[in-house]
Order: sequence, then structure tokens, then C-alpha cells
Amino acid sequence: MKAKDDLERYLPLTESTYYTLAALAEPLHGYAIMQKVETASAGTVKIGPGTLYGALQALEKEGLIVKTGEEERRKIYAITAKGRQVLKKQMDRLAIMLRSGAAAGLEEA
Amino acid sequence: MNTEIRTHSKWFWPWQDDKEEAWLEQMSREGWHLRSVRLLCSYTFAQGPALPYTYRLDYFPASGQEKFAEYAQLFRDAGWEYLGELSNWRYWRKLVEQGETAEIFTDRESKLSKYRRLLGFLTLLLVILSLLGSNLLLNARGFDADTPDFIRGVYTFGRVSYAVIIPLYVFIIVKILRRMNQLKIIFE
Repeated sequence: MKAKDDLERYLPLTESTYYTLAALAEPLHGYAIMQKVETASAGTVKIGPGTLYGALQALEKEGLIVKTGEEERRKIYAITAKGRQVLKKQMDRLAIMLRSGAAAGLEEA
Repeated sequence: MNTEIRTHSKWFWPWQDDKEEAWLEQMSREGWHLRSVRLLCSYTFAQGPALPYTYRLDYFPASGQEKFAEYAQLFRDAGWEYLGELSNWRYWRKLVEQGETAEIFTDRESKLSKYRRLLGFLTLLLVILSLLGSNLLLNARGFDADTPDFIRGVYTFGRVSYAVIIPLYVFIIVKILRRMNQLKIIFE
């Protein structure tokens, strides 16, 4: 019960953090994350390097992602089991938000 | 090719980083591109064709070579050119399309973090200065008739300096806090 509640403190994730976590389902280095986020978000979210650096440091410190290697001086990160749990919790929240919007008579994109 | 070099001195307060960026962008639009920044607010420019550069300043204290390498790699991969550092301020620029801009911070939280890092450093400095200052004032009580004028002079100079520096630090910190508050309102 305690552990479950602890994850709540990460919510809600910012859009940048949400997409970064989702992108790291496969191990990627920083620039690849920026590109993947832009594509995955259909261009709605662009992450600047300063923002990404801070997000990666924070996510790693909290154990939501982990360094898995290095490629030409570029650190490679991947999501952890804890990160997946947080991502899932955010997805559930978003699903609730979507339902609430639908109940107001609006259609999803 | 002979490149013309020009050096400018211009003062910006730490909360005026956006003004500084705008000034550097204006210089580039006039064909003067920043080469380096040195102490005493000395900016060196090299002449070239007018270019639409976006300049951005980040406050990033050097906490180990490896951290900076990772940080800088992200910026370079995203197309940013590193111009140098002055008291932990990192100067970056990126060539953009005419009329466009680029951002190193794309959300409010991360932009505020930049000022939090700056505040952290300034507050630490203020505490150290205050401790040194109180020591200076306490010692001054030990003066007697034999204390040479020179020593008295040094203490007086020290006290007057502190009377200026400490309020100045507090003023700077308050100004940065106000800038952060302003950002909170503007963003989103």
C-alpha cells in the first residue's frame, strides 16, 4: 500500500516527462529522445536540450530511468520497472480525463 | 580573409539574461557574431554576414567534467553551438530561419530551475560573506590605543565594503525572485 502511494507523488507528469518516459521503452540517447518525442507527439511537444538534461537527471535520480550504456560520448537511458508503473498511472489519469471530455459531448481526435 | 574583431563592454544584471540574449541577437543581425565573453563584461565579436542567430544563456555550475560533457553533447546534437562560459553562465547559439527562434528550455519548470541554480549559488555566497563579515566586525572590538592606524583603516574599509556588498546581494536575490515570479505568470 505504502509503495503504491509513493508513486502518486510523481503525478501528474509534465508533457515533456511523460513523452520522455514513453520514448525510453527502448534504450535511447538524448538526441534520439528529442526526435522520438517530436514524432510521437505529432509535433505538439518539442523538448529543448536544457529541459531534457534536467528531466533525465531527475528521472534517473528517482530511479524511473537508468543508464544502460554509452555510444560516442552519448549516454543511453532506458525506463525501469518503477518508471513503467508511473507511466501507467499517468495513462490511467489521462484515460479518465478523456472520458470526462467525452461525457461533455466532445469527440476524441 | 581578414576578419574584423571588435570588443564591447556592456553590463547586464543576472536577472537580465533575456536582455543580454536580445542584444547578442541584434549584434548578429548587424553582422557581429559573438566570439567570446571575458571577465569585466567584455564581449568579443567577429564581423561576418548578418545571420539570424538565437542566443541563449544557461546557468550551469561546472559540477564535474563528465556532467558537463553529457550536458554539452545534448545541446550540440540539437544544433546549438557553445561559445564559452563566464561565472557559470553558458553561452549558446543556434542558427534559425529568419523570424524564428529556438529554445533550450521548453517548459516553465526547467526554465525556473535555471534561476533556482543561480539562487542556490548566490545564497551560498551570501551566507559565506555574512559569516566572514560578522567575524570582521567582532574582531574590531579588540582595538585599543596601540592598534596602528593602518589596521584600523583595513577594518574600516572592510566594514564599508560589507555595508555595500551585503545589501547588493540581497537586492540581486530579490530581483531574481521577481523575475521567476514573472515567468510563472507569463508561461502557459
